[in-house]
Order: sequence, then structure tokens, then C-alpha cells
Amino acid sequence: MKKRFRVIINQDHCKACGLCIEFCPNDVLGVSARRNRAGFYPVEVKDQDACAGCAQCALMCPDACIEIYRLPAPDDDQAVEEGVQQ
Amino acid sequence: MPDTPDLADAEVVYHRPAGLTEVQMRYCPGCTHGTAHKLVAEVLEELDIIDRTVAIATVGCSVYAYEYFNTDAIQAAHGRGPAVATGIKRASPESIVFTYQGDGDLAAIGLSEVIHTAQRGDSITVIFINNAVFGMTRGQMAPTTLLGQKTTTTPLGRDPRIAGTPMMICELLAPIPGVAYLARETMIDPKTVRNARRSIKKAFQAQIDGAGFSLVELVSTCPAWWHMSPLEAMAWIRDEMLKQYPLQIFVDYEG
Amino acid sequence: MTKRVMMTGNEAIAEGAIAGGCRYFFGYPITPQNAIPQYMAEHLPEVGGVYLQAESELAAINLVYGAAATGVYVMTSSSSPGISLMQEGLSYMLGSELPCVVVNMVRGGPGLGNIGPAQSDYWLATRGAGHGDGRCLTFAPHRVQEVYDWAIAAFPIAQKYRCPVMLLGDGLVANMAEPVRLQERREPPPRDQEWAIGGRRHGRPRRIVNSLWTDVPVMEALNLRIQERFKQAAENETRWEEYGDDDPVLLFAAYGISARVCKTVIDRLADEGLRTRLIRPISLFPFPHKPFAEWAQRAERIICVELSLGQFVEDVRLAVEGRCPVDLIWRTGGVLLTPEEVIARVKELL
Repeated sequence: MKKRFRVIINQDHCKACGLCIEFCPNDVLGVSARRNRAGFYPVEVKDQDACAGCAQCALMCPDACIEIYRLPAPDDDQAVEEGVQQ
Repeated sequence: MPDTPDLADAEVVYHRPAGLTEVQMRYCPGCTHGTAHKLVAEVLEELDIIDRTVAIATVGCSVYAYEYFNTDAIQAAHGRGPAVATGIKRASPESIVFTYQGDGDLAAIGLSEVIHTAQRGDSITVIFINNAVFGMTRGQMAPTTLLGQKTTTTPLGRDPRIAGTPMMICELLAPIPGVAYLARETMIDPKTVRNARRSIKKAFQAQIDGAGFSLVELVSTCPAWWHMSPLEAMAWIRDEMLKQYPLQIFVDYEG
Repeated sequence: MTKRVMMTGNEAIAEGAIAGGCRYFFGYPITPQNAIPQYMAEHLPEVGGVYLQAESELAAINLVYGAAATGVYVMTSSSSPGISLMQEGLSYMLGSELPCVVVNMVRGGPGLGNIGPAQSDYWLATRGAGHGDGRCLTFAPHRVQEVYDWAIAAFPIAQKYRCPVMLLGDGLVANMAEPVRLQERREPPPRDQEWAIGGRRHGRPRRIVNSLWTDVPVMEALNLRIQERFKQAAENETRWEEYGDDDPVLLFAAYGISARVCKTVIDRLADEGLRTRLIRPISLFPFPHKPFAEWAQRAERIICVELSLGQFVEDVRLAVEGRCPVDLIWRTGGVLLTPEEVIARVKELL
């Protein structure tokens, strides 16, 4: 069962402090090449599939810029059915 | 919830807390003021008390806190937050009242008010940001500045013969019977951030239960006036500040 | 059927506040007004009120600020040195557009001074609620019944103009005992102001009580709003009393305890055939310019009598606008002027 996570970053509020990148264990995040209105190079998602949903990035962000969502994986329902039948 | 179709069925793992407004916080990059605001906001949401909370913004970098917390709010004169809190709580006891104070506001000009409020055992909560420096006014010595630490008013490093020793607020308040919850935490890695949130939650729970005064001291960064990057500042807390200000739960609340 | 009792000025202010619906008092002991917090400590719990002794006057005015923000009638009291400490808090109250009542039982000064009666806080009361453009609405009763009546009236006035109202007394009126006709104690009004914070919001938008406006035109607009209210206060709340002859050659100007002395002086001078009249401002801010402007055209001179080196006299001179000479009879530092002394000085002046 593969869980899929989506990391959404508010790039207008991001101040590029780097804490999220530092505390992500899976190299999901990196610095973007585009500046935001405040003149920072905000963080962006580099490798979404690597995200394990630990939410440490969101935990550490001083600006509450990060939201994390878990998407239902397509083979979740089938796995539950099989589990019930056993 | 962002407006993308593929997130329509998504489960929220972490969202921006409802206790924060949408206003961007003005703090410096990597300043843990923002983290502290976020944790308080999460706790207010989790405990379902946003609707009856009054935030007291005090003087310092957090002077605009009334723009960030999604609650009724009031601006207090420098150091007087706990007196204002008591006035509100006595006149409106169903309100949940908290002050958000820096080390200048609480430990310098406001020392009398915080001690007397603790002494009275008023059920208000104090969030105390200790970053060893006066931030808003550009980096002067605070009562919590470390010995030898250079600031704009201790350019040669804090000398105890001139400027005394660092003030230990939790140790000062711990013996007071009116204190229901008292802890020193920090926010330098996921473990300490989670501990900080847990302490903040206990502090507000103590207030909800009318158990008495609660205070959480949060050892915090000031990258700007420590002249460090955000990560260097976190390391300085770990390597230097925590030696002076050890993390501890001084008075626990079980509820 | 109302009761008539002997009361000191201190007691009358406290009982008047309770009668007017005040249920919150935060204060700090200082002579000569200690009977006010003591009375409140004893009687507020009877009516479900809250008395809290603050750790200092700094704390007291900030306790008042917090309670005022929730919409309640709230009061503090002090004497000159403590009022100095409250200045920042008064400025915050005015700048945050919050109402409260503050009592100053003025004592000798400056500095630690003494506990004798004085009127040397006139400027402190009328020239500023602390720093910034803005003042306390200030009223000065002169007998204990009037003290009681103003304690009741002060709270709705503070609410109407959203500012601190200062009741100016002195060490003598604070401690003299006179008969007072009491009213039934009223219930506090509901806290339904559209600016009040606290309590359950039930989904209403959040409110902020604040005096920080870094957007400078907004700060200026706040000042204009305050000035507009003071203009209305000048139209509605200006009060004075006149006492004495209808065709005077000489006018007295005095307020508070000095006015009591002047009334005795007027009666004695009348016995000697000298026709005099007193203009007694009751509202010091807003100042009653009208009677001075009118009478100054008819009288030979105006003699101010005050217990200070000359603060109130400046407002009299402003009101008179040079139409006649204005003299000053004064004592200060806690010394009380007697009718004999005033009469002697009047005769020297004439």
C-alpha cells in the first residue's frame, strides 16, 4: 500500500530560512530559482514522491507556510477488501 | 485546503492552524517567534478555545501579535501584560487570556507584574520568549543575556561585575504556590518543538481548569542580533543557551 | 426614600461609584485616599464586585485598562505621586479609546511632598492624559455631596466619550465628613459596546483594542476623532457654579476646596459692603470660558485663589483674554489658605 503525500508551500510567505530543508529526512524540498515578492528564493518541492508524510518540515516552519495532505492510493480499497476476507 | 481537484479526497496531515490569521508574520527568517505563534495557535484550535481567547500583545518584536492571532486582542504597555491579563480575567472570567512576552518585556520592565500575577495565582497563561537579547530595539542586553555575550550595550561581552548575571525566570517563579504549570522548552528540532507544544497545551489546560498561573519559557533564536544564520542560531541554543537555561518542567499539571 | 448619612469625601466617592454601577476597583494605597480602596474592599464583594489591590500604581492603571477593554465600569484612585505613575496608562486608555474613572486626591508636592491638601495637579489633570495630544475630562467637586454625585455621573460620561474621566479632589475634601443624601445602588449596565473584547464571541468578528498605529495618517485620524469627542464634551459637559452678588466689583475664580474658602470670604466681604462674586468651574476640562469672558467685561478685576503656584490661573487668563486684570492668591506645598488670609491679601490688592 503506497501512501502518497502532497506538500503545499505558501511561497509568498516563505522566507527561505532553510529549516524545512534541514529537517526533511528524504530530500523532498529545495530552494526554488524564482524570487517571491519579498525578494526571497522560496522553498519548493523537488521530489514529491519521496515524501513519507512525517510533517517535520511543517513542524519546523516558523511561518506556518507548509501544509501536508495524504492522498488515498488507488490500491488502498482492494487491500482493505483482501484484509477483510482473510 | 488548497483548491486543487486532486486534493478533494485528501486527508489533512498538517494544516495552517485556525488560531492564526492569514497575515504574514513580520519576524526575521528563522526567528522562532513564528514557531511559537504557530504552536500557541495549534493549541488554541485543538482545545477549541479560539472563540473565547484574548491575546495580549506586548512590546518587543511581537508588538504586532494582535495581527497574527485569530482572537480578540489587546495591546499592553511595556511590561504590563500580566496586569492587563488579570484585569481582563477578573472582569471576564470566561475568557481565556494569555500574554505573549519577550525577555525585555517580562524580565526587565515587567518583572513585578509577572511575579505578582503568579503570586495571586490568577489563571492566565504567559508565553515567554527568551532569546537573550532586546530584538525590536536592535540588539541590546536583556536580563537573560549570557555572561560574555556581546550585545550593542555589552560590546565587550556581559560582565557580571557591571551588569549582573542572567535572570532565571522559571527558577524564580517555581516556588510560588499560585503556579499551576511552569516549564522551559525550546524549538530547535522536531522533538523539542513537540515538547514545547505539549507544554503550551498543558499551560492552557491549567487555565481552562482554573488551576492557577501558567508560564512556558521558550528558549528562542534571534538570528538577526546574534548575527547568525537560522541554523547557526539553533545550534547556538543547543550548544550554549541550554547550558545556562536547561530544559525542565518545573511545575507539572496533570488535570 | 433616600438615606442621609455622614460621610467623608473618600467614602462618598467609593459609595457613589458603587451606586453608579461600578463593580471593579483596582488600586494601591497612598495617603490621603486610603479609605477609598478600603471602602471598596469592604463593600464591592457585597454587590458581587471585584476589589483587587494592585502591586503598584503602574499595575493598577493597567488592571483598569484590561478590565475597561471588556466593557465594564471600572475605577482607580490615587494621590499625586501615584497619579504620576499612572500617566502612561492614561495615555494608553485615551489612545485605545477606553473609558474609566480615575480619582486624584491631590496632596502637597512636588516629589514625595506631604499629605496636606493641594491643587498643584491641575496641569497634570487637564493638560494631558500622559504623553500625546489628549487630556482627561476633569471634574472638581467642592463638597462631599457633590463628590458623591460626580462619582455616579462620571462613569456614563467616560463611556460616552470613551476616555478617562478624572475626579480631582484634595486631601481635605477626601477626609472631611459632611452629610450626603444617598441614592439606591444601581446595577451595572450590560457590556454591549461594539468595541468590547473578551467572553465568547459566538462567531462575531474578532476585535482589537490598540493604540499602536504605525500607519501615521491613521494615528492622526485617531487624534482627530478624540478631538471631535472633546468638542462635544465641551458642548454638553461644561459645568460651573456662580455664587455671590449680581453686581460685583470684584470676581473670584476658584475650584474645589479653594472655592469653599472663597464662599466664606464673599459672605464676610458682603458684610463689609464689598460686592463680590465667585465663578467656580466644576468641569476643569472642558473649561468654562463663557462666564469668565462675560463677567470680565463688567468687573474690575478677577482674583484667582488656588493652592498652587499658579496653574488654574493660566486657564482663567486665557478665558479672560486680557479684558481685565487677573491676580493670584496662592499657597502651596500642602498649606491651606484661610478666609482671613484671603481677605487680607484681597485688601492688599485693592
